[in-house]
Amino acid sequence: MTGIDLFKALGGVKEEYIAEADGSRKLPHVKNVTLQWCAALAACVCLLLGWGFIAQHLGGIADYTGDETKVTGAAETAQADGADQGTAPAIGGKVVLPVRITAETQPVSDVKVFTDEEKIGQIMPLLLLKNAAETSDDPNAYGGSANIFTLEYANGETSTITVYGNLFYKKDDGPWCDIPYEQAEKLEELVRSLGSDE
Amino acid sequence: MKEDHEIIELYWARSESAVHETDAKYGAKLHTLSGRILPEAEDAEECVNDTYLGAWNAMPPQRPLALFAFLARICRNIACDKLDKLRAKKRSAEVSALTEELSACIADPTAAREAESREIAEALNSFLSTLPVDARLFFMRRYWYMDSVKAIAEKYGCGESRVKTSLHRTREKLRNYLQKADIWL
Repeated sequence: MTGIDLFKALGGVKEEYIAEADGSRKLPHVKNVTLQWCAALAACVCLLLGWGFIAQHLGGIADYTGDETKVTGAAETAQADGADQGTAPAIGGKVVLPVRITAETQPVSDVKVFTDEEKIGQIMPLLLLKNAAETSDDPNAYGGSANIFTLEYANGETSTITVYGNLFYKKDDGPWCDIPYEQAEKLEELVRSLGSDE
Repeated sequence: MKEDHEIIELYWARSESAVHETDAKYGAKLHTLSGRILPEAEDAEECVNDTYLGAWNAMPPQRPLALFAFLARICRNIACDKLDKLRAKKRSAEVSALTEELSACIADPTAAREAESREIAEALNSFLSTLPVDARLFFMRRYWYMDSVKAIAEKYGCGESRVKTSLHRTREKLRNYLQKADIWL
């Protein structure tokens, strides 16, 4: 027996298989490689877009970098890690972001107003004081400028935070507390770099 | 152009237009098929004409479900037989004489050959039923329709390497299958 015999014997193959290979029947199993790649690419793009959408709009997600310079999420809600001074109204344990921050530098009296969500998200982590401790120093003994931040919330509440001399921190009528110099300096530089929204 | 069932009805009605309609619809494909087996155009033409005669004699009583598959099988078998005869003519006179002498040892050489061919065909049909659709398509297009690897790849929108790999694996499987079925090549 030879290959020729086998070749000839193929003549006895069922007509069903002959017709199948002729293309008389539509066969979905032989996939178009190009279509496969396009479908896979489309799926990846949808996945990335969905992820980006969720990451951007999911409330309560704090994207803290090593130096905690940014808070993402909706303007009305944010999750603050370690905020224990009640520096902002809290809902369900989460810190509520203000809708407007007025930053005033005294005695020079440079005023900036921030209503942009992203800018507010950048400022707030630096305005939140972790593990606040009442200072043993007398702020009046130090000369320097003060940055006064007025926070306005969606429910109409307001709060005032004063950072004095990049060393001292006071909320509303509360006591003066120590603030890490680096945090205060970053806050000052950030406010200086951001453009006013009004 | 008439539908397959309409052409089959013409055969059943013994209408002479049956062959004309068949040629109009499938003549080109049948010529391509026979031309791939028989090198000479005249032989290929003769093969196609013999196919129409075969179809005329087969219908009735047959009423094939897929007319082209039916015709293609007739055409291919006729072409293979013609090829056998052409090759036999090319052998030296001495060899031809020898094979003729040996064939006398077989009581009914035609029947024996047909039985063998049937056995292999049955094995092939069983084997083909075990294959995934892709592999079966590639195998049939290559070894039944004698398409090139490139043509197969273009037809099904896949790469040539995929077709080659599939054919290689299918041949390996066929060899093992035929060995298990005690059909030795």
